[in-house]
Amino acid sequence: MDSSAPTSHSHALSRTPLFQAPHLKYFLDALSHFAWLARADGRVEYCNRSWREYAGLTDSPASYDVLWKRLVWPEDWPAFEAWYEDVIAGKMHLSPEIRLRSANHRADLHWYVLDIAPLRTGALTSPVEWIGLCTDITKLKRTMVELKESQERFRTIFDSNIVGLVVSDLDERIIESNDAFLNIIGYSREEVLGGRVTWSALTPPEYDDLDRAKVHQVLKHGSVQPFEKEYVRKDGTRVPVLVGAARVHPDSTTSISFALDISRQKASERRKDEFMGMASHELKTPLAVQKLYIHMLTKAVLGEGDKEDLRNLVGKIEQQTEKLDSIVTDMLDVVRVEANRIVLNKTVFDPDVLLKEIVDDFRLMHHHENIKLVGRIGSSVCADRERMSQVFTNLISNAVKYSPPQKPIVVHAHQKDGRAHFCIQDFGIGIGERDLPHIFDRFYRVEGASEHTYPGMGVGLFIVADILKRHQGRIWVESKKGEGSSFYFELPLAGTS
Amino acid sequence: MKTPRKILVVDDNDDIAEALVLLLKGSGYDADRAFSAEECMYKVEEEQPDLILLDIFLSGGDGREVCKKLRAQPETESLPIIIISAHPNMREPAIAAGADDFISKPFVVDDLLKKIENFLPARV
Repeated sequence: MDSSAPTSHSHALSRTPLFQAPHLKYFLDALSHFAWLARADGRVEYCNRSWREYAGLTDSPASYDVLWKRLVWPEDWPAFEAWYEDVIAGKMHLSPEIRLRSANHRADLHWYVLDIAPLRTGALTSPVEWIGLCTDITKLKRTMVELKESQERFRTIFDSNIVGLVVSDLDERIIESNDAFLNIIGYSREEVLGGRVTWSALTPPEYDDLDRAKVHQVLKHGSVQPFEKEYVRKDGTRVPVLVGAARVHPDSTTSISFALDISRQKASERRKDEFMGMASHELKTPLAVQKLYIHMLTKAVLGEGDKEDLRNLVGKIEQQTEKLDSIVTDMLDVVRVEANRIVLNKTVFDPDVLLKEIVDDFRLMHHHENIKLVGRIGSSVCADRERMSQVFTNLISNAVKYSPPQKPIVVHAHQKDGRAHFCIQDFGIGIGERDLPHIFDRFYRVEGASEHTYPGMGVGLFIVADILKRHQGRIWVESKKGEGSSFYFELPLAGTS
Repeated sequence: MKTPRKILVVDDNDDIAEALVLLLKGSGYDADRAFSAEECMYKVEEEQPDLILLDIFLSGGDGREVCKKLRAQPETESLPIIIISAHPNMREPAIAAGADDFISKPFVVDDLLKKIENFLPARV
C-alpha cells in the first residue's frame, strides 16, 4: 500500500475517476434506492436511474448541478447544506432527516436520510470521490408517529384516571397502575410496584374461584367481559368494583385490566331495594287501617249506629285514603324525576298568597298552631303553583314531623337581588353532620335508633330539590343535631329569568 | 255483667293502634295501647291484659325482644301473644320468639278477630 500522501494524491488525480467506471453505473442503476456519485468537492457527477426518474433529470452531468436545489424541500435546505459541507470537509455522519420533492410534485413529500461514503482507490488521505445513498424513511417515520400516537392514546386514558387501569402479569405481579386504581385499593404506588400487593391479596377468599375462572377465560380467549367483584383495600374494608381484562399479546401473560369503583351504584341499588320495601310497608299501614275502619263502618251501618259514629268512621277512612294518595304520588314523582319527566305548568302568581294559604292550612287542618309567617316577597313569581305548593308543604311537614309540638316553626320570606328567598326553620331534633350532605339524595333516610318513629320514604327532599332546580332555584340546609334545622331556598322573581 | 277481656295493642303507628283499639272496643273487648317496648312492659304489669297484639317494629325496640322478655317471666310466660307485621315472611321469626300466632298486614279483619277469640282464655 502506498503510504506517502503527496504521491497518493497525485496518483489519485491521475487515474480514471471511479464514477466513470461503467460497471459501477450498471450496478447503481439496478438499485431502487436513490444513489449518486460525486467528485471530491461534492459536485454530483452521476445519478442512478431511479433518481433520474424521480427528479426528472436527463442523463447529462450538466443537469446534476441543479439536483439538490431542485429536490430538497426549501425548509430543509439549511440543514442539508450544513451537513453536505461537513461531509465534504471530512466530518462524516448520517444526514438529518430531510424532505425531497419529486420532479412533477405529484407525489407527497417523502422523508429521507442521506448516507455518503468515500470511494478510495488505495490512497488513505483525502477522499477522491463520493458515493451517496438516499433512504426513504417515510414509512418508518409514519409507523413511529402512529406508535407514538397510539402510546399517547393509551397514556391519555391511563392518566385521565377515569377508571382504574393496571398492567400486570395475570397470575400475580402488578407492573404499572394509574392513580385511579391506587385510590380504589388504598395502597401507594411504591407498595404496588414493590410487589407487596398481588391480585390474590386484593381478592377476598370467596371470590377466588370466580377470579380463577376469569383468568382462565383471558388466557383462553384473550379477554373477559366486565364482571363485578370486590377488592380488599389496604385498611381491610371492601370496595365493590366492576373489572375486566384483556391480554396484551397471545404469547404472554401480561394483560391490561380496568377497575371501576361501583360503591355509589351499589349503594343506590341498595337504597332502591330498601325503597321498594319501604314503599310497600308504607302502603300496607294505611291499607290495614282502612280495612279496620271499613269493617267497623259496615258493622255500624248494619247495626244502625248513630250518625256521629258513621261520620267519624268515614272521616278516618278518608284520612287514610289521603295518606295512600300522597305515598303513591311520591312514588310516581320519584319515577318522573328519574326519567326526567317532571313537567312544569308555569303561571305568574303571588307567592305570599300561596304561602299564607299553606300556613293557614297547617294551622287549621293539621292543628298546628305554632307556625309563624315572617316577612313577605311582595312580587310575583313565574312558577308551577302546584309544585311550589308541594315544596312548601313538604318542608313544613318535615319541620312538623321532626320537632316537638310545643316548639314553633318559623317560615321566613323576603326578596333579595331579584329573587324570592324562603326559609323554613324548626327547633326540633336537627340533622347530624354525617347525614347533612346526603339529605337531598334519592331514597336517603336518616338512620338511627328512632327511625321507626319517623316513617317516610326518604324521597320528599329529593323531589323538592329537583322541582327547585327546574325553576332555576336552589335549596340548602343549615342544621345542628338537637337544635333544629333551617331549610333555605330561592327562585327568580317573575320577569327576571 | 262479666268484665270484658282486656287486649293490649302494641304498635308505634298511631293510626293502626287507634283503629285496632276502636275495633276491639266495638267488638266487645276492653282495649288499650302502648307505643313502645318500654310502655308495653309497664302496661302488661299494671293492667294485666288477657292478650297482646304486638307489632314487630317498635320505636326503640324489636317486638320479638318484647315477646322473649314476656316469655321469660313466670307471670306472663303463657300470656297469649299475636305478632303483627307488614312483612309476611316474619311468621317464623315471630313464632321462634315465642309468639302464639302471627298475622300479616293488611289483615282480613274477621281473621284477626277469630285468632284473638281462639287464643283468649275461655271466659270463667
